[in-house]
Amino acid sequence: MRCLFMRQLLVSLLLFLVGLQASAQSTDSSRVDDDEDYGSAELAGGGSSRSYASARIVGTSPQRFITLAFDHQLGYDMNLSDWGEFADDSIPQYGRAQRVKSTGGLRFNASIPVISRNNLVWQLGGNYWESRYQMEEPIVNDILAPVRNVVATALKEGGLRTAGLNTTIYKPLNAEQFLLVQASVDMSGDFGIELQPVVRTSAAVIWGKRPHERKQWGVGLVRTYRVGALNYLPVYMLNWTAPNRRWGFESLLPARASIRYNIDRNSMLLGGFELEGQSYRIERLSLFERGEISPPISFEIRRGELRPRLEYLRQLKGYWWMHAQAGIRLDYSFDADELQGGKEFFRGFFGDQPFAMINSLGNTPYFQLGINFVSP
Amino acid sequence: MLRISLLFVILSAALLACTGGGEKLSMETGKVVLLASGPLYEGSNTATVEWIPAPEAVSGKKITSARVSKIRLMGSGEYADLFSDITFSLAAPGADMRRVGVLNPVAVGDSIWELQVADEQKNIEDFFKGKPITLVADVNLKRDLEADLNLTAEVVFETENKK
Amino acid sequence: MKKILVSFWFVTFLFSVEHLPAQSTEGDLLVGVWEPSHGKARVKVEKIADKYFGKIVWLREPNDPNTGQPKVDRNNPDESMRQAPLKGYRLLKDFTYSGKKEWGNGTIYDPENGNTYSCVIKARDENTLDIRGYVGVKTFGRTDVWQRVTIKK
Repeated sequence: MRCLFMRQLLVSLLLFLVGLQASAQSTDSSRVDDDEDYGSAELAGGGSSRSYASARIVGTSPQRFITLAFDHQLGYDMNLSDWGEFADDSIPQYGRAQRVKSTGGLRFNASIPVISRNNLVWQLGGNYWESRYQMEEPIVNDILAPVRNVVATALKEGGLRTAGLNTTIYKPLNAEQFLLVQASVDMSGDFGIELQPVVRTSAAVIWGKRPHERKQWGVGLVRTYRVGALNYLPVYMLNWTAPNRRWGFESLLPARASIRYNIDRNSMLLGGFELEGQSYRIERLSLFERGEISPPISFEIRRGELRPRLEYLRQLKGYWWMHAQAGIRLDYSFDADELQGGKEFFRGFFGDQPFAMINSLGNTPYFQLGINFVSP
Repeated sequence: MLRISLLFVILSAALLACTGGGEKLSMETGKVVLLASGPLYEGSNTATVEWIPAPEAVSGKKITSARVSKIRLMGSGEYADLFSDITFSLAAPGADMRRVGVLNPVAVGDSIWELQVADEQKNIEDFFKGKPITLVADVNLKRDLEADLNLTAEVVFETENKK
Repeated sequence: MKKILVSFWFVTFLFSVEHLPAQSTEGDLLVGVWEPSHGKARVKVEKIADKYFGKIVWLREPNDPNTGQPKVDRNNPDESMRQAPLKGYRLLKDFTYSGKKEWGNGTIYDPENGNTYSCVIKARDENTLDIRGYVGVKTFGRTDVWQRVTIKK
C-alpha cells in the first residue's frame, strides 16, 4: 500500500514538473513572434538572403506569352530578275515589274515558361507566320524569264511561311548581372502539308546588368537571319524607364528599338523599328531528291524587311492585351541564293559569293492587329 | 387575339415580380471591441473581433450585394498620439479578405477616427453567408504599448436583398 | 489518504493540462516571419478566421525617396486605397492548408505594379517556403523562395 502510494506520488510529481516545463516553453520561443524588432532578426537557416536580378524593369511593355495577330501590307511593285550568278546585288537585273496588290497573313507566337523561379527562367516556344501574296497574274508568256515566273507563281499560289521552335534561358548571376541565351530552329519556305527538309538555326548570347529597377543593359553576339541571309552580329540591349515612369526606351539592337510612352498603367505607345527576316526555300526550284544522300540545291529567297512603326498597346481585360501597329515595310533584301547541298554559307557584309537572283520590292505601308496573353 | 394578349400580360407581370428590385437595407455592427493583446511594440500590429450579423437581418434573405458605407473607430485618450495609420479589413471563411477602409495619416489628438471607405468593394455579399465575420484593424503604432489595445468599432453595411 | 491523493492528482492534472502548449495544426508551420529572396521586406504570417494571412512588418527602405514619407500603396488599382501604408499591408491573403505542407486558395499582391496573383505555398522545410504566384494556370507564374526569420542571439 505504501509502495503504491509512493509510486502514485512520484507520477504526480513528474506530471507537475512536465506542466511547469510546458508552461515555461510556451513563453520561450526562438522564433520572431508578435512584437519583436523585425529589423534586427536574421534568417533561421543562417546565411543571408540572396537576391537576383529580375528579368524585367518597371514600366516596360508587357512580356507576351501568346500572340495571335494579322499582318497586312498594301500594294507594291515586285521586281524579279532572271536566274544567274550576280556578284553585286546593288545593280538591278529586272525585267518587267510584278504588281503585288497586298501581302499578309496570320502570325502566331508562343513562349511558355517551363521553369520560372527568381534564380532561373526557362521558356520554350513556337511560332508560325504566313505571308500570302495577292498579285496580278505572273507574266507567263515571258519566255525569257521562266524563273521569274516560277518564283512569282510560287508566291501567288502558296505564299511564304515560317514555322519554328525556340527556347530562352534567363539566368541571373547575382543581384545585378545576368545571362540571356536564346536559340531557335526555323523552317521557312513555300511548304505546305509536306514539310521541307531544310531548317535554319539562330542563337543569341547576352551578358547584362540591371543596376536598378528602371534600367537593364547587355552586350552579346547573335547568329541571325533577320537580314534574310545568315549573319553574325554584335548585339546591344538597353531597356530604361524614366523616374516619372512615363517615358522609356526598349531595344535589342540591331534587331529592334522603340521609344515608349506610358499613357497610363493600361496602355502605352511605342515608336521605333524592327528588322524581320528569314531564308525562304522555294520548293519547285530546289532540286531535292528525297532519299538521296547529297541533295543538289536549296533555292532560297533571303527576305529581310525593316519596319519603322508606331505601336499602340492596350489592356483589354486582366492579362489580355491588344496591339495595333502601323508603319512602313522597307525592303532590305529579297535576293535569292542557291545553296549547294542545302548547306548554309556565310556571306555577311563583305562576302563575294554570287547571288542567284537580284530582286527588290517597293516600299509600302503595313498594319498589324493582334491579341496577346501577357505576363503579369 | 385576346387570349394571346392576356397571356402576354400575365407573363410580363410574372417576369416583373421575379426580377423586381431588391430590398435595400442598412446593417450595423453596433459597438464592437477589437483587441490586440499586449504588450505591443512600435510598428505593425493587428486587432480583431468576430462579429455575427443578427439572425433576423440575414436569415431567409439572399443578400445579392453589399458594401461598407461607414467605418468609425474609437479609443481611449491615451491613443491620441499612438497611431500613424489604420487599415480596416473583413475576413471570413468562404470569402476572400477585403480591405474596406484606410486612414493615413491619423491626426494627432483624435480618439475617434472615421476611415476612408474603399471605392471598390468586390463581393462583400460573400461575407453574409451565415459565418462569423472577423473585423481586422491593422494599425501602425508610433510607440510601444504595455497594455492591450482596445478599439471600439462601428461599421455600417448597405445591403441589397433578393425578395 | 485516498482523498488527499485523489485531490492531488486532480490538481496536478489541471495544472498540467492548462500549461501544455496550445494544440497547433500542421498548417501552423506557416505562421511566423518570413523574408522574400530580395530581402527588401519581412512578412509576418498569422491565422485569422481559420485562414492564413501575411502582412509586411518591416521594409528595408521604409520611406519613399521622392516624398520622404513612409511608402504607401501608390500602384493600387483603387485610387481611394492608395494611401494605405505598405508597412502592415496584407500581402498574402486567404490561404488554407491543403495537406503535405502546401497551402492554397490564396493570393499574393505585388505592390510594385498593383497586381494580385493566385498563389500556392509549399514548405521545403521548416525554414524555407516556395511561394508561387501565377495567372490562370500555375505554368504562367513565378516561384520565389522565402526564408524564415529569427531573433539575433
